[in-house]
Amino acid sequence: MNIIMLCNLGMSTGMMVKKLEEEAKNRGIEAEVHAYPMVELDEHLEEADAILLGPQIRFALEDIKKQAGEVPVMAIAPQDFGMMNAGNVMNQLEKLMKKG
Amino acid sequence: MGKFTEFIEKHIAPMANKLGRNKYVVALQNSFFAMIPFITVGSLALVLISPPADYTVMDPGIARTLMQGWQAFADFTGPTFNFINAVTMNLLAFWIAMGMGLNLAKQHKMTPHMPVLITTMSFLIWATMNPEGSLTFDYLGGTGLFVALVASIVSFELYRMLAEKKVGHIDLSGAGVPPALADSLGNLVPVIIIFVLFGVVGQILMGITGSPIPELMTLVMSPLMGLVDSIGGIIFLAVLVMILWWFGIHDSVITGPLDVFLMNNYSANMAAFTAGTAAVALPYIVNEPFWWTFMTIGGSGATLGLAFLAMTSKSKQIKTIGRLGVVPALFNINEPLIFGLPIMYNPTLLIPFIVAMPLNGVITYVCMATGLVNKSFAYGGWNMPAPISAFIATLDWRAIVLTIVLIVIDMVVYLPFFKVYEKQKLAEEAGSVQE
Repeated sequence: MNIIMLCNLGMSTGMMVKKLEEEAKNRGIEAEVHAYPMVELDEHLEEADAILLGPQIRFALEDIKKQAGEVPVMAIAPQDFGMMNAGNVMNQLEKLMKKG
Repeated sequence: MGKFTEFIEKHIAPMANKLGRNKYVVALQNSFFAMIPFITVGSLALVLISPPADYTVMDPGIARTLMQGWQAFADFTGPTFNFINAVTMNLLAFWIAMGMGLNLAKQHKMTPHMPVLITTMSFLIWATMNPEGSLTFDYLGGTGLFVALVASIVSFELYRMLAEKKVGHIDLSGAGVPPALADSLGNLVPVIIIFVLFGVVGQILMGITGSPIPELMTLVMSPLMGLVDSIGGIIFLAVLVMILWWFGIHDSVITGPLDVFLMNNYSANMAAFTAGTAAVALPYIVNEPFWWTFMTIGGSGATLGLAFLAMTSKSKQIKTIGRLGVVPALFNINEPLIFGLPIMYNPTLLIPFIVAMPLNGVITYVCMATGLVNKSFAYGGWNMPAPISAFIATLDWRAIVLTIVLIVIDMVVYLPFFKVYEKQKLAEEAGSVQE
């Protein structure tokens, strides 16, 4: 599974990326997580199985959803992002993927 | 409070989001962002060949020996490092014009090669024109930034329009011409139109006013530049930025355009310093390092002090976030604190969050205006710990003291509000244990 994480410049999400990869590994999911700035989504959309938004750009959710088409998109809850709670994020992501 | 929050959520936040995602703001931000390593290297090159004191007038001792050694190093490496400084900083506007072409093309899913050439050359037409008719290379650095922006946006949009409408497109596809050749021929007419237009408009403007385009642009921008370089201006801008962050919204809508002014002032200072102006007498106070080194210590909201407070908190949640957030905070990243503590939507922490950063600005402004601390003329990059980048920015040991004092002041500003919040959290945590 290829997860793409978006934020303004692709900087502040670095810590979360690591935590998510660890969390996925613990759950036995083969997942790669990459952080990109929001504007570069187009270049990476093809390889994405899911898209996560950093909370600082959560207001772009609707626009990104339109842009992403079939690919499920989710904004990370501010609290989960701040606490680096990759477990919660993974739970919600799995729920979202099942729905899709 | 609830109604106010709702209003922001419904109206202001989407607007800030939209403006922050405006293609010109994004292109500008990305162009500057890509330049940061080069600006840092250029700054370091200058710092390395600029001993902060003149050893010939010093009393004998370790300090004098040190400065003498530094001077010898500077004499030896000067020619090399001067070039590194020149190609990074003295051509800043040139690189930004290129970056604008690339980033705008990316957003329109165009092949970037032609747009980059067109934005860069259009910029050069306006930046190198001179009323005497010769070429001038004085405006390719920071003083040409406004021209770089206007020229690259106008030329890019012109090119896009001409290309989309296939104006003057010479269709050779049926004639067995290789595609690459067909492409370059097809672009011939749009390029002629754009360059002639830039040349003519430039000549007319210069003919009327008698001064080069970059100087005209600076004149037009001077009221805004005056606002940025003032106590009132920094308070206003910093408060706006902090209100956005309190709602957990990235500040790019303000800091993106602001960076152009900060960079302009910064490179003017660097040029003046290189030309021999004393560091206390440089033309501008508010510039790139002023904002990103002295004001945003620990990230927007000057939260490094808060991170220190949180680390040793009695509340479990606050302590966890503090320990998680303190290392990124040293490098001026504070998303863990903003979203985790949280500061966002937290009425208890609203006041210090909005007050701390403008206060840092005011104190630094006063220190620099009175000559207590050197004005800044070099830049270590936004994610270098404050005391180190403050020294690099000013080559003044008093700047190190200033940042440490600012961190302490920020702690004091946050402390009473932090204590209230800690009490709330402790009560919550005690409550959840009993349940």
